[in-house]
Formats: sequence, C-alpha cells, structure tokens
Amino acid sequence: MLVFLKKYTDLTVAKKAILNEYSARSGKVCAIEYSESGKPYVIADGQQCSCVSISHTDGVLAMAFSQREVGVDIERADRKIKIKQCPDIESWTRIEAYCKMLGVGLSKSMLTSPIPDKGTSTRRVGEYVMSVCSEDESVEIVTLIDNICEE
Amino acid sequence: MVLEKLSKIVSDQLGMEQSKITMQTSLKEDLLADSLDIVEIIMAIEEQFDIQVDDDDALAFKTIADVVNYIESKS
Repeated sequence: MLVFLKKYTDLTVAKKAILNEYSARSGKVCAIEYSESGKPYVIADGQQCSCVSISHTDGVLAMAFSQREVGVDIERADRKIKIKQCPDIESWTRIEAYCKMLGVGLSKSMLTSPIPDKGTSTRRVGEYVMSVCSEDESVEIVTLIDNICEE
Repeated sequence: MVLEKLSKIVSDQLGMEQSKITMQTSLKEDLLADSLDIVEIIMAIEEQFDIQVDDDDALAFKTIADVVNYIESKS
C-alpha cells in the first residue's frame, strides 16, 4: 500500500500531481474513475489496476493506493468531536477509513461497528491525524511530499 | 420554523451565516460539509426535533430542503 500526502490550494491540481507520481511508480498511465456509488478506483489501459481512497481536510490531501480494498481518512488533530460513540478524532478517522474501505456511507450504525485492528493503522502526521484501513496487511509506505512531518 | 431551527444547527456546526442557508442549499457543494459535519448535524437534529433519523434516509440527504421535508414528515 502507498499513501501519498500533499498540501494543496487547488485540490484538482493536487490530485493530479499525486496520480502522476503514482503513475510514474507503477509504470502505467493511471486515471481515477468512480463507481455508481461514488467509490473511486484506478484504471490504466481501460481496466481497473488498483484500489484507491481519497481524503482531504484543511489544505491537506491524502491518497492511498493498494491492490486490495483500502480506505483513508485525515483530519486536523485538534478538531473537536461531538459524538458520544467517538471519544476522539482518532477514533473517528478509524471509522471513516473503515467505511471507505467497505465502500459504505458513514452512518450512525457504523459508529458502533467494531473496527478491525488488523489492517487499520492510525498515526499522527504533523498537525493531522490519519487512519488507513486495508485488506492489504503488508507494510505501509507513507510518501511525504511538501515536508508534512510524520511524528 | 423547521428551516429556521435547522439552519441554526447547520450554521453553528459549520460556522457560517444562518441567513445564507436556504432550502436550495446543497449540503456538500454549498456547505462543504464533510462526513463528520453531517453526522454531528444529524445528531443535533435528532435532539432538537426529538426524532430518529434513519441511516438510509440520512445518506440520501442532498439539500436543506431534503432535510426539512424529512423532519416535517417525522413530526
């Protein structure tokens, strides 16, 4: 799994920059399309070539690529949360990443669903907190762009 | 009345002027509400109007009008 992080002022430009980086690494000309439910996926040569998840907040874009289903969520670490079922923003990102991996909309019932520990990782990235959830249990590689510091 | 109370909830959640929230306002495109905003807004709606918002119904909300109509149908 590859996770790219990029600060942005123009989201479309930032997505394209990350996609170009991923294309260069994969050796294919990749594009992102969306299923009927709105779930993104990566295509190359007219066929799906990998899974992708996209999250952005407050000028930071995260895109996670994997050969297996993947979900990512990034939030500001100091964002306050007013949901009883979620003690902190870290918990929220884990739920959101899990829902995105499953391709389901986030709902109240998902707030109380057990999130698999295996395949879900949460980390602090500078002023942000990010969770990734994937069926791909291989070592994750986080590529840092534009000096977003990982703690 | 429902629109006024709902727009106050949305305005408080998103930090925007209440007067800018109309029936035609789109939750995602106009308000730029993310998933966390929407879940918190729905929970505030449940508390304010003493109703339960069904998950499947909530996923279908696109505009303020959708939400107002839903609240009125439940009241």
